[in-house]
Amino acid sequence: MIDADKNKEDIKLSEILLETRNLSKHYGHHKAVDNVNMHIKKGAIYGFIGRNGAGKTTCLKMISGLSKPTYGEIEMFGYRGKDLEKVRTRIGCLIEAPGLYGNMTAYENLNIKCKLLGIKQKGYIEDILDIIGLNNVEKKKTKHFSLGMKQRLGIGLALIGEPDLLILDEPINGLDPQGIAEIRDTIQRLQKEKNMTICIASHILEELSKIATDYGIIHNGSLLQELTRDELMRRCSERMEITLEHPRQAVPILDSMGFVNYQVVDKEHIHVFERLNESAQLNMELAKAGIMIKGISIISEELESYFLNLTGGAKHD
Amino acid sequence: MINMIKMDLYRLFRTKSMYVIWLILAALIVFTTFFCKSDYEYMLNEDVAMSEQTVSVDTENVNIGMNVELPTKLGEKVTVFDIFFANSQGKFYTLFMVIFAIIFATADISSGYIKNIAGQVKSRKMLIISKAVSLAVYTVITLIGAFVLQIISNAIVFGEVAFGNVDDIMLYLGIQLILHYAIVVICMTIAIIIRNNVISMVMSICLTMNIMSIIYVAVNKIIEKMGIKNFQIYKYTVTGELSFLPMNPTVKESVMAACVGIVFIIIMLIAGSTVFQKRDI
Repeated sequence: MIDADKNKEDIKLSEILLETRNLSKHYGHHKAVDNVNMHIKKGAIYGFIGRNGAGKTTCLKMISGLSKPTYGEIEMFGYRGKDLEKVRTRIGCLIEAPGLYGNMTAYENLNIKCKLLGIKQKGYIEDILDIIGLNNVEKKKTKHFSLGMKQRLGIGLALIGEPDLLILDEPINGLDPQGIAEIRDTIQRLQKEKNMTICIASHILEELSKIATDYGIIHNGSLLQELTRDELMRRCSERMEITLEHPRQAVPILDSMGFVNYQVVDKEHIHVFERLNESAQLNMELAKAGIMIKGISIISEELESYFLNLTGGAKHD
Repeated sequence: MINMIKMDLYRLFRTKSMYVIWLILAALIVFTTFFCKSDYEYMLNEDVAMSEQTVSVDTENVNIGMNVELPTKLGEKVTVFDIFFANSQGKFYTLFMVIFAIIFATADISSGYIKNIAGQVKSRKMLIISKAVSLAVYTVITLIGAFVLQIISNAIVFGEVAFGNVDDIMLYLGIQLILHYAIVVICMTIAIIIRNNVISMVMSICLTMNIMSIIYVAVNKIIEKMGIKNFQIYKYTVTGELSFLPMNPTVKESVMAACVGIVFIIIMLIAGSTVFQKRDI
């Protein structure tokens, strides 16, 4: 059986690289971020999903140290409060549009940050340019770069210093399909080869679903849900939804019938992800055991509609 | 901190506008030297008070606008020090310095580059200090460069180089370096706090054009009404000291000017770095 709470228990404290506790940012009466409790596991690609204005950027700015929380706490690499200063260099970030000096080349832009971090290693900048696919731009000023090139250079800047945590805010915004694919490959390669933990904020769900291992869904400043890729896929995939009063009572029946891939979702629902054609038989066995069933149905959801249902997007849009 | 300074110096010497400003300044120095010569010759002929250019409205203390007046007396040679003094007093160099100071100080903020680095430093205050260090290098190079170019210009225009009293030059140059740096730091701080290039630029140019003298007059009158006689606020301001520092200042005048400059530098650095540390990016 897969328990909804079990996943959270599975995340051992030592595995969590970043955690926020009641992270909030208020601008006057407006709560841009409201009591966000985020958990990013080491080595994960965390997809931070939310509509425009949901609070993603504000949240990431606080994590990146660009903005101060109104209240709440951030813990990273085991450090929190003033001690966070000690681990600031272990974060690389690309927040909103890439910030570049337009009158300088890609090399010069990268070199400025290398100077800040005291990196003198020969060929270091060339390696970064290789990773981001900008090794052929030579003396072209960044003001003449395409949006895709600027985004890639922004990622390159975030990669300087080999951060353990890479924060990317809408890195594929405005890119063409090929550019998106390149960024996706780069992100996956970085996670695999350098074991980097990556947090990507985006509202392009389809793209995120291709790479993210964990998800956080934010809406109107509040974190609605955190779930793993498997959980999300399970929630979106075709399943049998059993509605009943005491789901726990049904667990021995499901076990005795040989069901293994199911989940007690809440106090009224069980989701079964296998043998979907055996709903009648299951209904009968539960009835025999005296368990009152309110309904059994086969449901499935697209990732996008799952998100829209969760955030009430369909109603608004 | 050393890395931050290295970073800002790297950026300083790769900022094209610095070289453009230097080129314009150099051209104007040569041009004004020619102008000085023709003015001086005219003065010799006509025996009139010599004035290089004046666009001014008189107030009690300082002329509003750029006012460059040669101190050379009739019959004396126009020295390098004379022209350097006139240009310093008229805030001719200051104007060019503050324009670049604002461009440089806000470049990382306006380009957004600051987002790449501000989160990764232990203290954001240090980013302001490192900018200030880079601008100190810029101020020294510009002012000493202007002096060297003045020597060359004098040689070209007058066919000879008369320096003036070397001890006086060294003292005057040293104090002017402090005062010019102070005004550069003031303008850098204004730009960082206001976060608007245009307004900062206008305010800084107004400072160099002595617009503040209107306020000084008002402050002087208020203080006079409070019963304090002969109080002159400009004696405690950088722009006032820039305008009124004599060619051969006494020890008291030198110490006073240097102290005013240093106090403003410290106050402005504290203000700028504190605001930058606390503000969201």
